Amino acid sequence: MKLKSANHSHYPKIGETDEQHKLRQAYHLFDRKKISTFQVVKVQQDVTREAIEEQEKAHLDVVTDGLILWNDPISHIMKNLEGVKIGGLLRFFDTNFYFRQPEITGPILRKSSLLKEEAAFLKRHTAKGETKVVLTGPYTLAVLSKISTPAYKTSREVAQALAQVLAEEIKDLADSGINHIQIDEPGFFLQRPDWKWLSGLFEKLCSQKGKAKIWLTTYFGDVAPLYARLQELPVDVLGVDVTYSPTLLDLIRKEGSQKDLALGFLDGRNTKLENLKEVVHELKSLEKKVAQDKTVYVTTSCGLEYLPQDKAIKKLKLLEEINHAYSR
Amino acid sequence: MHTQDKLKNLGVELPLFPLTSVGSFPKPEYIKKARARFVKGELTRKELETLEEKATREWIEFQENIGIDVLVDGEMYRGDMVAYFAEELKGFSQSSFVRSYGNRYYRKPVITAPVVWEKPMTVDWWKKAQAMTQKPMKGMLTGPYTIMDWSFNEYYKDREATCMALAQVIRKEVEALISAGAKLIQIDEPACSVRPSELPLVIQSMNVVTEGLPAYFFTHICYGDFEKIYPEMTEIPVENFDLEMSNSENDLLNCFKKRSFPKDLTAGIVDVHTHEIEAESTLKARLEQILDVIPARQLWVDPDCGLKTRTVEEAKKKLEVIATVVKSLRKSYSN
Ligand SMILES: [Zn+2]
Repeated sequence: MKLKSANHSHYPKIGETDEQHKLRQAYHLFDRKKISTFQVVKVQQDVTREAIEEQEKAHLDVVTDGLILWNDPISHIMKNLEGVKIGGLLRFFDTNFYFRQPEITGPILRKSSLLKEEAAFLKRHTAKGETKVVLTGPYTLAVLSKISTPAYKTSREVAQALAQVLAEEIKDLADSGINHIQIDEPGFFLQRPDWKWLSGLFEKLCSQKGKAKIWLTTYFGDVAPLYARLQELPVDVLGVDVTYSPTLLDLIRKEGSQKDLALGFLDGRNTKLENLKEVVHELKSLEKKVAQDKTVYVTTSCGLEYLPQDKAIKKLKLLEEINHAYSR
Repeated sequence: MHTQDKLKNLGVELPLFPLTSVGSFPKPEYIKKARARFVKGELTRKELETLEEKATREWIEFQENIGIDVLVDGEMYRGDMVAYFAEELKGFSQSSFVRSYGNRYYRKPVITAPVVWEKPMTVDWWKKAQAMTQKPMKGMLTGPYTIMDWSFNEYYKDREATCMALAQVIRKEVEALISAGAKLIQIDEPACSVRPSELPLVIQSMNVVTEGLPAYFFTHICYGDFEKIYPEMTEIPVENFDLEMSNSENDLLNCFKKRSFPKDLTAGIVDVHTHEIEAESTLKARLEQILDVIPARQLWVDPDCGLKTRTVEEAKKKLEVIATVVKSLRKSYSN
């Protein structure tokens, strides 16, 4: 197996100093009509560039744009779709973070590309790393939406409609030269999917992926009971949250992996820094069981936005050290 | 012992449908300005405190004037309900900003060493506030489970160990409040419904906090998925559950219909997230619905949650309409 380091998804938008507070300040001023849209966009771009720079400073092999423009993982994808209205705040899983709940009001259609501009910006500003764009998956989006249209009767039907528009999005992203496209599905832990149906859903989703590698990522739940099922889905990389799964590493040591793996060793929900030697030791123990041509990406258990910025940077640095120590 | 007997033994006499509040009231403009100046070093702690006492006195007078039965100090001197305790306890270091939604951020504390209770954290304010009124003043604390869930932990082995260590610390504060004379103490656990599988930990830690102590305990839980934790949540060892009934009224009443509510209930009957002041008829109807499933002698009344997010004017109006409706309801019950 080959080891690479990867950023999971999002990155803290603000830090401690006034300078690091500029995005919060810009939104604040924009709400009071004291600065223009153009000025806000400029700050968003600066902060995105800084997020990419931090990842490159830590020599990550796979870089995201830090999802700086995202308010939350649900409404950011849903807000630009036809047939969707964005509603009130709900708690995002067991975190202290909230998302706006979508309401499905009619047939779901993609008016235009959802993430094309963000992806282009990421590509333009990434010097060395491979690029990764994150999409929240159709299953999770559907489970967390409210249906108030006769167009769909069940969240399954909504998921199918969403898979259609996200497949178009994946095609656009792949065509634009993005290397990795990550589909986040923490929703598997809210409601267990019907696996046969889900396999069809993912086939549709990945049907036009071109050269891009498709990641399926779960977090905020124990993935061990789902591991065998996930291995059967038509995706290239399985992303898993190691912190919630006490038996997962033993399971991988036993069963191996037919796919590339992204292992969330570092806790994205807690500031405590993991022990470098222990993580490297665990990684070495997987070596024989993961096929030689497969890649293991070492990453955090979830995105970094649940941490303060200074701690997030420390986690990125630790990913670099792990990669170093492993290859030595 | 029945909850009402506990009150009687404590020498607390209250009318039918006692009126109270969840905890926080909005800070008047002069407190907001004073806090900003204090941060900049333009105001001494003593000067800030004098203003906070003035604001506390104003809120106490207001509560007395409209006939609230069990008062709160309004928390003029507190910011965040977890950060306040994290700053007072040994073992925490302050963390930087974490986003909660949109453009809103909060400072999430970090536990970096054993948590130790060195001195009372809320007793001085409780004494000051109690001295301003003849009515009983509630002691107000945040529960161990919520402090654990809303903090980072770099010291303890896991969530359980963190929570149980915090329980010991909060018990010391409860004991200090009781020694100072507090008879009614509220321990907030708003995080309690987030991970239903950890409800046993909430119960176990609250038991450490309240077991064998001579006080009437409340816990306030809000904006949770009650269906997932009812009726098990009623095993949390307190006498009174303070719950938001205006925001999730139907869910809760359905729960209570299926399995009757075994303890005292403080029903929140006004929404704290709307500017609009509820009509008397709305609140009356809400209370009647609740009284269909909760015996009258078990029922207390208050707003859904802390009122600190409203303006002073809105908060006062919401409290006034609650008081008006409850007083007329009492009349119809005494007839
Ligand atoms: Zn509340």
